[in-house]
Order: sequence, then C-alpha cells, then structure tokens
Amino acid sequence: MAKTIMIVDDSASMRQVVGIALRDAGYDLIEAADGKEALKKLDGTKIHLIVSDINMPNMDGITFVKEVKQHPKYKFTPIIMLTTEVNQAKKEAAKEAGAKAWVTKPFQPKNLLEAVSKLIAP
Amino acid sequence: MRIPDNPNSNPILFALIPVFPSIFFSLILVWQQGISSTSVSFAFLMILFSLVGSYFILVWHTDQLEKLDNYHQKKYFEGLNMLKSYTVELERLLLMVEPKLAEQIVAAKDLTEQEVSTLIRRFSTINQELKHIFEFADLIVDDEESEELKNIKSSVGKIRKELDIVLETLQFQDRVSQILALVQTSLATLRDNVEHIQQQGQDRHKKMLNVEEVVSQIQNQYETVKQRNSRPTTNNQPSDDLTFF
Repeated sequence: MAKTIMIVDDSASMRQVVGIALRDAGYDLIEAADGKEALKKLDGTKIHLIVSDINMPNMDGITFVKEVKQHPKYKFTPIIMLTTEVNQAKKEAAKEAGAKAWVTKPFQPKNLLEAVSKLIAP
Repeated sequence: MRIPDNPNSNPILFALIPVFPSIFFSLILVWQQGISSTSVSFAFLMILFSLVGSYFILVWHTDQLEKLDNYHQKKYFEGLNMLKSYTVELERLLLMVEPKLAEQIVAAKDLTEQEVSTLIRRFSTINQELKHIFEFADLIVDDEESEELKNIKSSVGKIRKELDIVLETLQFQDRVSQILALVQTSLATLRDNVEHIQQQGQDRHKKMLNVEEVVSQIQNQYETVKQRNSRPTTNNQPSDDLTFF
C-alpha cells in the first residue's frame, strides 16, 4: 500500500510540482494551503511524512511543526521543510521545532525524493 | 516710558501722543504772549482740539486694525480648512485605493498561479507520455537492438531532462507570489497607519506617520525576499540545498 505524504504550501503551483514528483515515485498525497488547514486535515488521518513550506499565511511552517510535534499521533511523523528561506536562524528554529530535513526552493525532484526516501522507506 | 506701537496695548497713552506737542506749543504760546485769558483760552482750545483729533484717529486706527485682524484670521482659517480638507481627501484616497490595489494583487497572484499550474500540469502530462514511450522503446530495444529506436530513446531521455528543468524553472511562481504578498502586506501596513492617524482626529501630528520607520520596515522585508531569491537557479548551477537534521 502506498505511503501518504502531506504537502503544506500556500502556492498551488508548488504543491503541484511537489505532487508530480511524489506521485511519480508512488506516494499518495494530501494537500493543504497553510498550517491551519493542514492541522485540520491531519486529524485522524494516517500520514507517513509531511513536507511543509515556512512562509505561509494564517500559520507559518515553524509554528505548524511545533503544533504537529505536540500531537500524540503525529509527534514521530518526519517533517521536511521545503522553503525559499535562507535565514540560518529560521533553519535552526525549524530544527529545534522538530523538522528532520531542509530542502531549499527551487528544488530538483530527485533531491526531495532523496530526503523522503531517507526518512521513510518507499 | 516706552511709547506703545499698538493702540490696543495702551489706548490712552497712544491717544495722548499727538497731544504732547500741542501742550508743548500751548505752553510756549502762553509764555510768549504772557498769561492772559486769550492766550490761556487759545492754548486750552488747542489742547482740546488735539485731544478730540487724537480720539478720532485712535478710533479709526483701532477699527482698521480690527478689520485687518479679521481679514487675516479669515484667510488663516480658510487656508487651514483647505489644508484640512486636502489631508482628509488624501487619507480617503489612500483608504479607497488600497483595497482596489490589494484586490488587483490577489487577482494577479491567482491568475499567474492558475496559469503556471496549467503549464506544470501540461508539461507533466507530456513528461508522463514520454516516460511511456521511453519504457516502450526500452522494451523494443532489448528485443531488436534497432539503432533508430536507440536514437528515439536517447532523444526522449533528453526531452524528459529538459522538461524536468522546465518544471524546476516554473517554481519561479513561488517567488512572484512571495513578492506580491509582500506588496499586499506593505499596503495593509500603510492603510493601518493612516486609519490609526485618522482616528486621532484633531490630535494627529506628523510624528504619528513614522515615515522613516515604515519605509525602512518595507525595505527590510523586500531585502529579505531579495536575499532569498538571489540563490542560483536551474541548469548549470545546482540550486538545491538539502540538509538533514
């Protein structure tokens, strides 16, 4: 059975690019436009990995990671930050919040897939 | 004793100024003619006339000054009202234009997102079709070892690589959205500032605008986005940055 990955990004085109890369690799996908929507969609759903942007409206990526890590069902779910952010402090903040990897945009699908396959077996 | 230059400050003293010379000349006249009823009466009349004359001059002068004062006050308030209505209109213009601009920014963002999404979907479909051709060609090449099929396979592989680059390049939309979101935020900040000042009514003053602070804040946000976007993109330079924590 295919593993499910959640992509959280306010840009529909980015969600699409990530979606193409991950679906091609055989993963199922759940999409959310920001942290708040993602938390709603997380409720009870089996998610194997989360790919999240940082700069988003309503709830930013770092806050979202912190919220996920407080959730008993998802606290061990690996999270990859996919962002244009180059600020080292933000990178540290993501690490402290509990993210497992950091991929900068624009990304090459193979790099994202490398990160995904290292965190969850395909 | 200081002679007043404004009749309103000491009107009696001001009225007496022209009287002093007439008293002086009356005294000289009485001294020259000797004290007689004629000279004293004449001197007295001279002083009286100068007093009456001074009084009328004072009244006329005060009236003129009052008229002048009223004129300047009227002009001042007219100017102030013009400035006030200009400021109010300027604020109204900004508050009315801001939502329209924000609306246009959202529309531009949505439209480009939509168009780029369509492009990504189409390129992705082409890529999938090419993948099938590649896999099919692979099967045939394995069986027949045809040179032409090998060439087709190689071409398809090259096109797929190009399409991967196109798909990566199309991620520019994310930056466009970021910049547009920034413009939207800056406009909202400006609107909030103006609304806040407007609420102060008569107590508003220029310091409330914090022009330098607002401009520097907007500039800093833009610099951050510029810094984020100055990273190398696609083709020759590897743009990816993958870090595991």
